[in-house]
Amino acid sequence: MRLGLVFAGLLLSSPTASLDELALRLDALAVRDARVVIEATGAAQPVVILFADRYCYACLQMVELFVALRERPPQGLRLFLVDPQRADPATALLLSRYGVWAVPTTVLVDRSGRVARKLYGYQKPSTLTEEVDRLAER
Amino acid sequence: MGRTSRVSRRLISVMGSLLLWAAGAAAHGGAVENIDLSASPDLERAVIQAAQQYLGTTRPPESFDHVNGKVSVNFDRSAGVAVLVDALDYGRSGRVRVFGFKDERRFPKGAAARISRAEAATRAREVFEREIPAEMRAELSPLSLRPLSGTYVAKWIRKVGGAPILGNETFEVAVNGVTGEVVGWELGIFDFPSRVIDLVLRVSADAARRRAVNAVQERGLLHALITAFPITLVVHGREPYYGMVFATEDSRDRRYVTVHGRGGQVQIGPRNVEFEEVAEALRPGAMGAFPGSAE
Repeated sequence: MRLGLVFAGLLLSSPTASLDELALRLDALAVRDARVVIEATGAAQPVVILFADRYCYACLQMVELFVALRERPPQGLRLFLVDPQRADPATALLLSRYGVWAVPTTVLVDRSGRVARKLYGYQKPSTLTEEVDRLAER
Repeated sequence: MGRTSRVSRRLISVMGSLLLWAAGAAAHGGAVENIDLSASPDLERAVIQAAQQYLGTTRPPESFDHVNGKVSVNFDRSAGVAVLVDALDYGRSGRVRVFGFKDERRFPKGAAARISRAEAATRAREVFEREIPAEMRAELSPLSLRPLSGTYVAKWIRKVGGAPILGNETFEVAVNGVTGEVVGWELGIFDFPSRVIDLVLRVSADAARRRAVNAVQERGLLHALITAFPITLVVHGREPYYGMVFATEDSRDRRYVTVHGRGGQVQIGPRNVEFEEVAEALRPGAMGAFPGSAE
């Protein structure tokens, strides 16, 4: 399924969640053990990693898009939310490996484990849709 | 508050951040040397173009660094010539903006300051008017003007509803104290729009002080509230806090204590130089006050 419909639904029918709600969702969805992300990027599948924390507006806006994406991800695509504030070694490794120097940053990793695209800051839903669809089809 | 991430753009202490940038911020937590933008080629092009346009050059940059959430486009690292570009709004607006510049060749070379504080303030204001977008300018208030290493450093801080926002949401200009040239300037990134910053208070400043004193005593600390830094309502992220400074009798160990403006929760943290600078500068009659400022 292409993602355009998912985001169209988000934008047209869903009320925008409050920032407090989005902060709670971020806490709930952020990976507890970043080693799962490292493993997933080596498992011949496309992976989208959103790096975001609760202390910036654009991060929380991206969490809303991430939630919509997570509800109906394209076949075979894995999605992870990583909170850099969780300063464990695996998170530090991810930040270093993908050169994440500010949040939010969305890293799209292709089936071969290579970075296909890095998106800095908030992204328009249409941009994210196109990029994720392109990644899934690669 | 109490955040430790090395990637957070909000980590850099405000105190002297511009000069630290000028001096090579790689030694500090909010800077990363030689970042790679090649996985975002359109963004990379936009960043280079904005920086070249600012300097009026077609020369390609040597490298990129990350400084305080922005991309430092380095044209001559050994001479210290760089332009800071905010790239984080590119995905939303399709454009990048110049948020800073430095030319270390313009640092004074040993001579005593010749221009007055008032002249330095005028030069700094010109940069403020020329470089800062009007909607950001409207939220920035003059904070201080201080001599530092042969320069004058003028600083504005973002305020919402009169409360200063901590976390590098400032504008700083360094003016050469001999020639009056602008050595550099830097605009901080505003993390939250003012409309989502909730300044409704349910705790008075006096109640906050009592809570803080009690919490410090309950913790068994020997620190006392320092009145030289007035209790100041500040914003961290999008939340209001009363900030205050506690110290041991010999003043060697200072703690930054906050009380949430609505919930009343007390946090006792390590010394916060940024808060101290802000609280001190906002005190009536402060030494480093900005000339002509009503505050």
